[in-house]
Formats: sequence, C-alpha cells, structure tokens
Amino acid sequence: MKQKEFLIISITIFLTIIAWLIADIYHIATTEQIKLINPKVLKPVNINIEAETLKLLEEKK
Amino acid sequence: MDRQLLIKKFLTRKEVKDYTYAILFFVISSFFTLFAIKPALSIAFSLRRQAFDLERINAIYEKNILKLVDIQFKIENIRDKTYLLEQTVPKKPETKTLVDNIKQVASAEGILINNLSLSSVDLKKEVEETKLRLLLINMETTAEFAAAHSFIEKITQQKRIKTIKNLKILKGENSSTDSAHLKIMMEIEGYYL
Repeated sequence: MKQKEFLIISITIFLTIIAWLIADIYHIATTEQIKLINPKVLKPVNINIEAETLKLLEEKK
Repeated sequence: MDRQLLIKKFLTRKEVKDYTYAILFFVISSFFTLFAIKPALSIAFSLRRQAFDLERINAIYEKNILKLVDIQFKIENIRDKTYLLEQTVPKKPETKTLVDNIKQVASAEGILINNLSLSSVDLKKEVEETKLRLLLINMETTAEFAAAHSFIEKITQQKRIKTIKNLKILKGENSSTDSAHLKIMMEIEGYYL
C-alpha cells in the first residue's frame, strides 16, 4: 500500500470518530437524563376551590 | 549494506517524512479523541442536561407545593362548610330525600302530583370517581301557572342540586281560564357521586 492510501485511511478514521463524537453529544444533550421520577408527581396541580360557590350553596334553602 | 542504505535514503526523503507526520497526526488524534475527549465531553454534556432536567423538575415541584399550601389554606377556611357539599351532591343516591324535597315543595304550592317515577339506580356499576352520577325523575302534575312557576323556582333553590332537563306545559281539558289547571311534565335530574 502506498503512503497516500494510508493517509486517506487515517483521515477517514479521524473524521468518522469526530462525527461519532458530535452525534453522541447531540444525543446526550437532547435525551432526558432523569428518568426515575414518577411522572404522576410531575403533573401540575389544577384544583380550584371556589369559595363563592360555597357561599351560593349556603344561601340555598 | 546496500539495503540499509536504501531504507535510510527512503526515510529521509521529504515526501516520505511529510506523509509519515500526517498519518501519525491523524492516528494519534483519532486515538486521543476516542479515549480522552469523547468520554470527557459526554460526561460534561450529560451533567449539564441532568442539571437542566433537575431545575425543571424542581420548578414544577415548587409550583405544586405552593399550590397545595394554597389549597390547604382554602380548605381550612371552608372546613366548617364542607357539609354543604354532602347536601348538594351526596355520596349515595338518597332518592328518598330527593323525592321528599319535590313532594314538600309540591304540597307547599298546592300542586297535585299525578305521576312520579324514578330512573333505575345501578349501584353495582363502577363509574370514575370524578364523574357525577345521574338520577332521573319523571313527574307529571296538574297546577296553575303561578304555582308551577313557584314550584320550579323553589326546586332549583333547594340545597340538593337539581336541574330540569325537560319541561312540557299543556293546557288542561277542563280549564276555565288559560293559566288554570295546566298539565305539566318535567324531567328532573338529581346528582350523586
């Protein structure tokens, strides 16, 4: 094998490793890392207690 | 001797030197990237992402805790009024109370109940806890318009929530005036949990 071919192979390996590195970092940066928390606990609490309605009920006979 | 001389001559050629340096540079860089830079960057980005996720979760927790504290405060304020909820929408059908309520108002207004029927209550069927269950009452009465109007008003003012789903007012056969002895058909809905 000529030296030029060796150089092309080494450049290809280098570029492949760089691409792999970029893809790996992108994957890590976009994937959620915390998976142990129960998703039920993360739901926002939407409970409203309408005191006005209770007042209205109180006024009823 | 000639062979060694030839190798030495070959290696000292400028072109060969350049290629060797370039190949070695790429091979060493690849090795270094793979075993040193990649793990370090992976850990750094992973930690950054974890920190971001934890901050987001923390914000949700904080919001939920504040909301719960607010709800607790409101519940404490209305604790002595919670019986009202039991009266308006009871946990059990309590059909007797519902019918009694209607009968009481009817007798107070001098309305004659000709027919009163209840929809069947399925006590076995499981419904979602958050859903209200219905109790349908079909009623047929004979009354004057003013009494019927007052009856409807009083029914809707009672603590136990009732809604009138259907209302039909027909003119009675033996009525002397337009408003006297109207035949009224009603579908009243009561609720329970």
